[in-house]
Amino acid sequence: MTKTIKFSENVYTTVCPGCGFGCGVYLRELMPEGENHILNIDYRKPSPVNEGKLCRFGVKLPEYFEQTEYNSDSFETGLNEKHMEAIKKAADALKGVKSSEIALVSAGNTTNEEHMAFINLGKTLNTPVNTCVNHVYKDIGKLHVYTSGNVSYSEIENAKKIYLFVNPYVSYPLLTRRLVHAKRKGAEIVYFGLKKLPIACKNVKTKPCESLYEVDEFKPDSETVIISDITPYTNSKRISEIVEIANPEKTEAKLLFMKPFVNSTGAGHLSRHSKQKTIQNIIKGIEDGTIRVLFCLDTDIINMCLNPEVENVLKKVETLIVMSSTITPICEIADVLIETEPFYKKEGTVVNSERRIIPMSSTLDNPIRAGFNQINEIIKAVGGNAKSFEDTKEEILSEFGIEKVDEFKIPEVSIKKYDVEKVSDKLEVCCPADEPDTNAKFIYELNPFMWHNRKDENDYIEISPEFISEIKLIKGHTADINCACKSINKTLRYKPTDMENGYIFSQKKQPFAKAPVAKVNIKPTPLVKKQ
Amino acid sequence: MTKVKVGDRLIGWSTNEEVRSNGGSGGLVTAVFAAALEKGLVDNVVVLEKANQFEAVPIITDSVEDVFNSAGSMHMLISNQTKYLQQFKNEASIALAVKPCDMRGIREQQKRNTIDSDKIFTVGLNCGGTMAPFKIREVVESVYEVDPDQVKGEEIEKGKLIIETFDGEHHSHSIDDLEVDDHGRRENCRYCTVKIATNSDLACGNWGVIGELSGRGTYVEVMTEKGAEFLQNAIDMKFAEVVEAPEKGTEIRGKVNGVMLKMAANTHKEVFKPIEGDKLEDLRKELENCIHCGACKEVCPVCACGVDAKCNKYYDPTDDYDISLYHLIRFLHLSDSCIGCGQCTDVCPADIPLTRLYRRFANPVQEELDYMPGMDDRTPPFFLTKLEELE
Repeated sequence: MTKTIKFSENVYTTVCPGCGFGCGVYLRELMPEGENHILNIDYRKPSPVNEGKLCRFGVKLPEYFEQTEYNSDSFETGLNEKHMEAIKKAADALKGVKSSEIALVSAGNTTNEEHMAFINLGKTLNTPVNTCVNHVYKDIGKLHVYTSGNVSYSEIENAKKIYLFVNPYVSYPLLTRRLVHAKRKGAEIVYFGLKKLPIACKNVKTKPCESLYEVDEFKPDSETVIISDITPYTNSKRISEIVEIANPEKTEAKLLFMKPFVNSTGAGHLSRHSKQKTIQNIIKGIEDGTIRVLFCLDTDIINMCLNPEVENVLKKVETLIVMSSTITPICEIADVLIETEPFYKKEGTVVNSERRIIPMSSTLDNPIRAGFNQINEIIKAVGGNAKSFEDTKEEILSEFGIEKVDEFKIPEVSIKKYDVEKVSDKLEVCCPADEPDTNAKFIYELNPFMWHNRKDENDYIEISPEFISEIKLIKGHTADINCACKSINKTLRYKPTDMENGYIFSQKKQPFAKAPVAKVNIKPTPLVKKQ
Repeated sequence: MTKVKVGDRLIGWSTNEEVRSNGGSGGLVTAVFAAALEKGLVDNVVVLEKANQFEAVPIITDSVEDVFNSAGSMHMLISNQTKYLQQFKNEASIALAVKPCDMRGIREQQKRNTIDSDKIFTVGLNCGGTMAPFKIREVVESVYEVDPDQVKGEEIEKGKLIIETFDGEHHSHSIDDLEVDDHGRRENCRYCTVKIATNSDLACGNWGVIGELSGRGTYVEVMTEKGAEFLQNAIDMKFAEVVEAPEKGTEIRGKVNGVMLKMAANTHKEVFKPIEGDKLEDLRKELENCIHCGACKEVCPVCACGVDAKCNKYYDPTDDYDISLYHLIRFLHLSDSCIGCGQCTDVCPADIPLTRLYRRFANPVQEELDYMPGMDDRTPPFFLTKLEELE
């Protein structure tokens, strides 16, 4: 047999960072001697969350990591000079301002262990860690008990009635099979939205701003599981109405709120006692100069916000510290950039939307804890007491009221109320609402590609066949879409979809819409005459 | 004993008593791999790194010690050895254990030049079927009423799934009973018609090991010159010992295989009974929840198409066809080469029974063309058709 080149291999048992569903996956890192590593996924069939199945984002994880990770091999030998220099700069900036002038942000794109270390940094600096997700309603503290995961995915399969407020095919694809199983067992699935979903037995037309008190079909009872989500764009009024009408204490209806980031639920839980700021409050604070240092831990506010103007606002902050495992737009404008190991190489735990605590490990002899160690170095540099990885793990277990991590059992957690600053309960619109020259409403369908600013084959809009006829779009051609003030125009392909007239959907951020729901004008792209 | 040669039917075991006790059926496979590594016949062996009794990941090693430590079999490990090998782009020489369907995938890829047969050595393991690991965990808890963390091992014997716990107890249930409630083997395994991996270098297993060697020896059939060389090497290096298989054992092996194939034929009839009503509507309905993740193509052991694959090229997300061209092209493309391994069904996030759908197209085509992919060196018929047309 011919001799060949030498290979070594690491396998990381990790979680897909695409959304808060918590899909288990193996990342294989193959290292041919003297060459760059090669990444591949392997399907983790023993995972209690997804049994190895992945969505389009998950299937493309190697590509995602290869395109966004820093030189990941450099983390295996500990922190280097470049890391230490960035850590010193970050610590100097944090020491140079008052506590009230610092905003720490971690939306849950990293492990509980890093988030907990970040909270420890916040305690040292006397400032909270803001998660920027559980912020949508002024009374979220009261709702938190219902929005933090109290239904397991397997309970969905056994439900008799399911009320859906998310499009599973697009937003949380792995929900689909749970719904398929439920339907096979006889569940009645009702979708409240503007599309007609094949999985639904009944599709109830429900506009984004419509009050659920006016939707007769929304009658949850003890046999109902309601599935919605909480994201930075969530209509807070909708969430409060779901909880008010469902009134779980009275009706015994069950609520599952999906979350957009891999550890949104864990981060939300660990930060629950702190009085947090919203993204809007932080941006306002930067604009009026009351926030001078912004420190983002694996949270790209530019990616999270629909309005691209946010980038210019962030450039105004005195010091923008970014600690990131991926190369994202906010890294480009950071004053201090602390590069960390890619997510799949992290050791620790995350909590998914059903509140399952999932461990992440590897076949490495010495686990990489670069991100965790970097936060600890900053804590030490600002005069705090850094905790060991083991102590931090213990603290996390105690926060979740468990003695050991067992991904096959969802821990019972007693949820308490917590405070956030008051925010608007209205959906934003990018242009005046009564613009006469608009003929459609544009809606984003949130999905992992959008949250992570990744390219996909999703740069098109969906529109109903009736609306296509009405505005005379030509088959095989494109549509021109303007924002209401007509300052931005984009030409896009379109897909006929069984959905409500007068609306258009996109799974990709579009420049003509700076809010989750925006008024737009759509018309056929003028045909160019051939010369 | 004379030199090992192609066609030999032997019973073998590891000379290392610890490996013989821990390894599946006497540890012969472990011994052959370890000896091959020691001698330098291969650079790497694929071993299983166990997380627990329900989870293990295949990983390469060049350490003989790792090979010895990894001894043991797992029926719930549904790895995809074809895709695993393809990662190495023929730049490593690797020895690995395979199920018959793994080997079928590998042989189909050899025909497509993505896996070089000179660079691999395969030991095929008898396979009565595999079980989804998460499902088995649930079954252990709900049907066997055993704490999954207390499971030491599992075995399929005489139509029963036997669970052994750390306290030495054996808990068993009939596979037929388990399968009534879909608690047993994966659907494709139930109608699979290749139970002995005669398409690999050495076809090994415990069927046909009788008498005092029962549980302490492996029946091995030497299928290729390379198989003979590797087994002889293990004997020469005193890693393994073999004796000629008794005729009675060979007869029993054939009988077990026959019973399994009969069961498979019955399941095949049941699963593939003619569709009543509108076939196209049935297909549309099965596929309506597809989210176009592309995982079914990614894991397909016989697909060698790259980014320009026709199924992707002709699929446009803005199309509103009732059945996407992606699926229609794949049904056609795989009808001569689908091996029914079940990988596509395993990874489908919408739980579409894809293998069953592919087989609906492949069964009549492969029967008509008299072609069983992955079992010999025949060129896939669709390749031939193309060449004949060109001529």
